[in-house]
Amino acid sequence: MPLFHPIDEKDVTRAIVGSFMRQFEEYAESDVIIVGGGPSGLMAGKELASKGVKTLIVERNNYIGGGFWIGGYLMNKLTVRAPAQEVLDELGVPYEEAQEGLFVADGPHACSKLIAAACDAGVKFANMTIFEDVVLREGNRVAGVVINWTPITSLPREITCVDPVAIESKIVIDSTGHDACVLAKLEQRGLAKTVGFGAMWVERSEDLLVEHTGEFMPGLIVTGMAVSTAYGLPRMGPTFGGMLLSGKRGAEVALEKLAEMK
Amino acid sequence: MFLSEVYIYSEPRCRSVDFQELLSYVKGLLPGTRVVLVGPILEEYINDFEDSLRKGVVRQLAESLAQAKVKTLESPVPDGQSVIAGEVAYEQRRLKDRENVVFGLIYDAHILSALYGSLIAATKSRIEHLHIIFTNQLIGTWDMADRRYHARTVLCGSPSIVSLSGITIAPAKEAGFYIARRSAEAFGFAEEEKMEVAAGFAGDCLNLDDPRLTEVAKGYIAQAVAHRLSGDAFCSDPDCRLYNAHRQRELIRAQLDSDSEYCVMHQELFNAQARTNGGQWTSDCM
Repeated sequence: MPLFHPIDEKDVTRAIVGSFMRQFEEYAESDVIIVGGGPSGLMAGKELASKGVKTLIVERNNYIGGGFWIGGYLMNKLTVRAPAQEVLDELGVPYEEAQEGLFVADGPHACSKLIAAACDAGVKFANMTIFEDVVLREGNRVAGVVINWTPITSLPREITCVDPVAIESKIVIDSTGHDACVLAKLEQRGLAKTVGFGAMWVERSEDLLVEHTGEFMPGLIVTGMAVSTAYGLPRMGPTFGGMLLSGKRGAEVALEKLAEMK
Repeated sequence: MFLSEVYIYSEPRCRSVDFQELLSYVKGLLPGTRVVLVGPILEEYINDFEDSLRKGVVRQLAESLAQAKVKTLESPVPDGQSVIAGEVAYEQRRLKDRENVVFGLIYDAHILSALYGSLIAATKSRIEHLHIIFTNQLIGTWDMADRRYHARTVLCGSPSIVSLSGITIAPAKEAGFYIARRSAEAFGFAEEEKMEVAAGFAGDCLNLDDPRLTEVAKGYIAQAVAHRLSGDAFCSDPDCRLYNAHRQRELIRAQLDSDSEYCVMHQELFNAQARTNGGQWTSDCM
C-alpha cells in the first residue's frame, strides 16, 4: 500500500493555481501593503495583522526576512539592546544577556520566529515580486503599488516586455531598507524629497530612526533603514533592535491613520 | 565691556547637570552681576503664549529648528532651507514632550543662535546682558578652510550656546576609540556591537550621564563670559578653564584636573568685572 494518497499532476497544479489566485484576487485590495519583508516590515505586518488589518507584504526575494537571518561577518548571532529584548520575549525567541542591556540570540531562530509570528497573525506574502511604482490618488495620496515578477528584471528586455499589475491599499509602508525604493520612485517623479544620509551623531542613530518612523506623505509610512534615507539619519550597520521597534512604531502610526479614515 | 545681568537657560533633559550649582558658581565668579536661572528657552517662550496660540507657535518653532538642521557635513545650511513634513513633526514632538530625550541631529550653531536670540525679549537683550543657553542638541559651525561642519561645545555670542552633548562628542576621544569602532564597522557588526566594542576603548571620556558634567559646564559658562568681557573666549594655557580643548583629555585637564581654575590674566578679567559692579551679589532664580 502506497504511503501517500494518489493524486494526479493536474490536481497539484490546480490546487496551487486556485489557492494563489484566490489570495491574489483577495489581496488586490488590502488595508496595508508593506514593501520589503525584512525585520521592520515583518514586525509592522505582524502587529497590523494581529489587530485584524488586512496586510500584504511584497518581497523581491524568494526568502523572507532580509538581513535578519545573520549578524555581522556572516556570524549568525543577532544582538539587540534593551528594551528590544521585549520583542524577542513576545516572539518566544530564546536569548542570552551578554551583559547588562545587551542581548544575543540565534539569527535563524529569531528570523523564523518572526516570520512565523507574521504568518500566524494573518499576514500574506507576495514574494519573488518586485515593486515598480506607486498608485497615486487625489492630492498625491499613495494608494497602492505597481508590481511585477522579480525574474523579469534579470532577463533581456526583448523578452521581458511584460506589463506589471497594480494592487491597491489604504496605506503603503516602505520597509525596503537603505534603498527606500518607494521613496526613490516618488522622488524620481518629483513628488517627494528625501534627505539622504546625513551628518548626525552615529551613536544616537538608532533612537533617531525609531523616533522618525511615521507618515512621510499621505498614505505612505516609512520604517526601518528607509527612515535613514528619508530624513538624513546616519548610515549605520544592522541594528535589529531599532528595526523591530521601528516596525512596531510604523504599525502604530498605520493603525492611527486607518482609524482616521473610518 | 560692562556686564550687568547673566541669564542661564537650563536643559532639563540632561539630568546629570546641576543648574543650581552653576547659578551659584556664576554668582561667585561675577559678584555684583545679577545672575538669573531660567527654564529651557524654547519652553519658556512657548509658555508665554495663551493655550489657543501655542499650537501655531510650536509649529513655527519646529519649522525654524528643522531649517537649522545640518543635512550634510560637506555643505553649509542654506538660508531658508527647505524642510520635509517629517522633520517638522520630529521637532514638534520634541517641543511638546519634555520627557522626549531622543536627540543626535546636528544644528547650525549660528542659525540656532539667531533663532534663540529672536525669542529673547528686547528688554533683556541689552548689550550689558549675557544669555547662555544650554542644550542637549549637537551644534556645529561651518569652516570655510576645510569646507565642512565641525561639532562645537560652545558658541560664544548673543546669545551663547553650550552644547552638553557637544562636550561629550566634539573634543576627540582617544585614537583607540575610533580604531575600534571602524574595525567593528569593517566586520559588519551590528550597531549594538559597535557601541559595545567602542565603549571598551572609550577611556577617560565624558558622557551625558557623567556627574562631572556640572563641573565642566562651569568652564564653558566662563568662556561665554570671557568672550563678552574681552572679545576672546579662549586661553592658550592648557591649565586654564578657558582653554579651547580639542581632545577629551585636554578638556578634562583644563576643567577638572588643573590646580588653579584660571590663569592669572583671566582671573584678573573676572576680578575686574567684579570691581566694576562693586562686588555686590545679586541673583534670581526664575
